[in-house]
Amino acid sequence: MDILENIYGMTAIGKLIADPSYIVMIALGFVLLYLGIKKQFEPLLLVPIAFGVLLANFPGGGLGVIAADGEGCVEYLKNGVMVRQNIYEDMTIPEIAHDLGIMNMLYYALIKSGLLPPIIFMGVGALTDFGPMLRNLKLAIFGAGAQFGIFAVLIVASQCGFDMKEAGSLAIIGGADGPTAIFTTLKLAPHMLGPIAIAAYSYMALVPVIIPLVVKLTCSKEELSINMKEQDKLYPNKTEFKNMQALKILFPIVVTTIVAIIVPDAVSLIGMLMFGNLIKEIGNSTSRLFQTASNGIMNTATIFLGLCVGATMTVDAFLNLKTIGIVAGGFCAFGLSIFGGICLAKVYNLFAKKKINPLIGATGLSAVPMASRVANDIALKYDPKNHVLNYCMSSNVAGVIGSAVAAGILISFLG
Amino acid sequence: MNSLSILASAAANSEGFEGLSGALLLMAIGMFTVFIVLLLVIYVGKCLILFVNKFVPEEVKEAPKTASFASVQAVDAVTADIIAKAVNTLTGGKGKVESIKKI
Repeated sequence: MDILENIYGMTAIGKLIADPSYIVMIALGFVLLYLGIKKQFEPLLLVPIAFGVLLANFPGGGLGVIAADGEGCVEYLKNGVMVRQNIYEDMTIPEIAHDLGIMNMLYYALIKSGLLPPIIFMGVGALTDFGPMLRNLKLAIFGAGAQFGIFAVLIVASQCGFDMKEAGSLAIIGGADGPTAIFTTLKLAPHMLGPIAIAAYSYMALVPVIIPLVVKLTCSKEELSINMKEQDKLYPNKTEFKNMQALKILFPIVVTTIVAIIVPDAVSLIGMLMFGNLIKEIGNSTSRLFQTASNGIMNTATIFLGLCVGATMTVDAFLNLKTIGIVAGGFCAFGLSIFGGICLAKVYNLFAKKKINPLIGATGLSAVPMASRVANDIALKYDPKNHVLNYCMSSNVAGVIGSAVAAGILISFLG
Repeated sequence: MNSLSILASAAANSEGFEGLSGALLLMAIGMFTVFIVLLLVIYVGKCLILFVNKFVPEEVKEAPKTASFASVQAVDAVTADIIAKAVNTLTGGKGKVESIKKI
């Protein structure tokens, strides 16, 4: 009988029965896996995050991330005794791995140090083409309008029980940029990292649902039928490009310099984004760096980021009212950002001869290139000849810069 | 206290950004800065285009190297260039466009 009791004690069954909230979290992990695998919602990130949630919530597995408190201390059982230690000052990386497990080691070494989000930005930069933006430079301004949701939700969240740092972290979901959201949250409110990362990536995955919804509520058929190519014929762009490659090489260098001077706190993100883009645009002489940044490093970083973010979603960290507030607030931030971009396009159309399809405003989000693809599909529904993809890519890529600048401002003033 | 002095004192101490007025102030600063940065990107981009057109005008033409004369006749040079670059990227430089036919 003792043997049976020991075997029962060895399993997680008893703990699952004693605390059913673990089952809720495991079910959430299954749902996220389903969305990632079956529904193909950002599977490259959602699958590692979902599996991280599962790993963290198997009782006794010891793979959940233990969040440090405001003083940087963690409490854990060591040889049957509860120990409280400052994880930054008193513990080395091998000690963290030994005492708290491999997931905590990865989290504190790679995520908490702020290493992975800029690394992922480098990969994003290597996969980004600034060509469409350079060909339609004016449209880049709509990347600013679509940051409205960030600051609007900051105001609302600050009045709903979140302190300013938490409100800033929640609001940055409106930038529609996972690495930016994670980077900002790490700087402002690291205890909210799990739910914010989940909300940010979930809403990014739901871009094909959210953009059409906001567009339907705010745009008329006439506005959505504005044919950009016809507008180009009526009011042609006189800019001549004699050497696009040289332009694409100079652009990331100059933009990094400007942003570094104006918003130094955004340099970690913008600098790495532009570096990744530069090694892509230089061509053959840096093609090995480009291949590594866009494949090996990017994929490795994505795996560790996803697993560690998922592992922060433990029962204690996730099942509370604040998480519901984050999920609701994140949705509002996302929707308001799209609305902000659309409004800017409408205001522009009041004064300009050359009309802009409001879908270009809606894609001022950072979700590249999914937002542009969705906008293109919507435009084609109203006019089968109205291909707006290239125009949307301009505001879409500008949105990446805009959201990183907005993050830099939040970190600068609230961090 | 004028808005500039409020901004200066708030910037000096993040505690200044508390409550509704702090959030509104941060919104004003944030949206203004994002607009300014993107306007700078636009105008600096325009200056770069002028600079490149004037001082580095040679466009690197890869299409004629890979696409045949026949292909250029079949489609315009820009399209041939795009197709050649796409094939070059997809095949890691091993592929070569020999002809392009309009179907």
